[in-house]
Amino acid sequence: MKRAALLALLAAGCHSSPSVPEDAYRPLDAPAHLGAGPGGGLLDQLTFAVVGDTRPANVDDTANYPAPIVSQIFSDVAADPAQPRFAVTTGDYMFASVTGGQVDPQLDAYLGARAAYTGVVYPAMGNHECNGYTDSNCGPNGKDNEPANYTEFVTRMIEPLGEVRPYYVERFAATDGSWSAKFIFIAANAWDNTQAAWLDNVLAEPSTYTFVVRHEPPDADTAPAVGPTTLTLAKYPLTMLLCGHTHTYQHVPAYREILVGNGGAPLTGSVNYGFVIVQRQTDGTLQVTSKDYQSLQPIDQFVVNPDGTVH
Amino acid sequence: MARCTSFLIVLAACQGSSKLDAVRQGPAPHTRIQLDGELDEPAWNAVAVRGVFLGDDGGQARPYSELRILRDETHLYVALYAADQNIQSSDAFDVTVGALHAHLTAGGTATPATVRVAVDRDGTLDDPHDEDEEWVVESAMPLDELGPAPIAIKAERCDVVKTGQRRCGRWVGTIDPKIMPVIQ
Repeated sequence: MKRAALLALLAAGCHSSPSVPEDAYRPLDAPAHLGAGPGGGLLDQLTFAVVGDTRPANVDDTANYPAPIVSQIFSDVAADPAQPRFAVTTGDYMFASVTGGQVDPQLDAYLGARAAYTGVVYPAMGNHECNGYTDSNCGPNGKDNEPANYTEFVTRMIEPLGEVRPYYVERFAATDGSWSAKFIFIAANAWDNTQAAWLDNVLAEPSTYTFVVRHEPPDADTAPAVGPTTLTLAKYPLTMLLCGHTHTYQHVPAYREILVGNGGAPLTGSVNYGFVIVQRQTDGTLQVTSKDYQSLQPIDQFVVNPDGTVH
Repeated sequence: MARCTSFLIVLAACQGSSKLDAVRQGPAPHTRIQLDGELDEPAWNAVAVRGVFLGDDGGQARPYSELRILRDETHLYVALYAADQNIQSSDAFDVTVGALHAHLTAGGTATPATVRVAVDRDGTLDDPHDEDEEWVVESAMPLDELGPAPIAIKAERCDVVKTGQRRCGRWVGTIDPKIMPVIQ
């Protein structure tokens, strides 16, 4: 709460406020500002959308990229009555071989479709932003090195947010100081000891709500970070784990997880393409609504407490 | 993208529930198809007939399935993609290609024996506790067993999803191998 009050002062233009406590911001994050932006921001309402996965069925098949579905979903998000202040995406924006020259054409298709929503979008890295295999590990310390899938994802989707690594944290607070929220984006396919230490640090920061965005769900345990981060997450408060990877929508209360993988990639279950809206209620609980992208009717709706338990 | 737009779409042999059938005719890439379940030869994206399965409601089938078809001098290559949360060895496509009826399973078996098959799976076989993603069956069918052109094709897949529902999708169309690019 102390940090939230400080942020409220900053928002009010109080230039005589004390220096920012060391535990409030990390070097990679920009100072808070009104509205969602680099590093997070001050918000009048905690309302956001979740979208993912968004890749074609076959490798390098850019001609059949699901851009029309992705575009419709982001149009739906833009028009949603809840007016999401930002969106998070759960990974897998391409299905491109590391040498086939289709990484940028597929990112062109994705980002063009995503532009139907003009708000800030914070992306998580998926296994297809490495070499496509669930057990792949990219980055400077990864066994699979830094193919174009990885470097172009970082360059075109992460760096515009002011970040330089595929894992990062965004910090939000209410303009009236009534709540704070951190969104921790794990790069489960760019896992190393540096990210592990970083994750412990950011999870230790106190906040009203803690959201962790990790592409692979707990069951996809061949991804390098799933096992280690599941153990780490268990040590700290968690409001919600936002995952993708499986191409459907599911609510898994046992893991405090919602799986949002029905963003255009070939559907594995009976649920249609769609998206999720999370909206803070006046009592501090969060209403989660999964919506069909065509009918806009709820596929599922439930309410969770800040500690992640179902209300 | 550019490589595909250079091909002239000459056939839309659409019947029944198919809607995306087309042959992109142009120079066939010189890539012999390797039966490994991986559709990574350029011909699969560049010149194959492609069809997306439709469900009983007329919309895209859920779970998603699609079919791709190529030919060389002696065989018709039929690739089938199945998105699947829970891959079972008995999960299968039933494909009728002219006079030939084939049963192709996620476990890697095929009938009749003259149909050669390879399967690639992203997930675990016969383990319902985890989340699987997809499987692809790549098959080769002798052209001389299919009967005269044009060849009617019906492909169907039914799957029991994790909620217990049995859901089916299918693709129906006609191809004429005589006007398909011949993979060298």
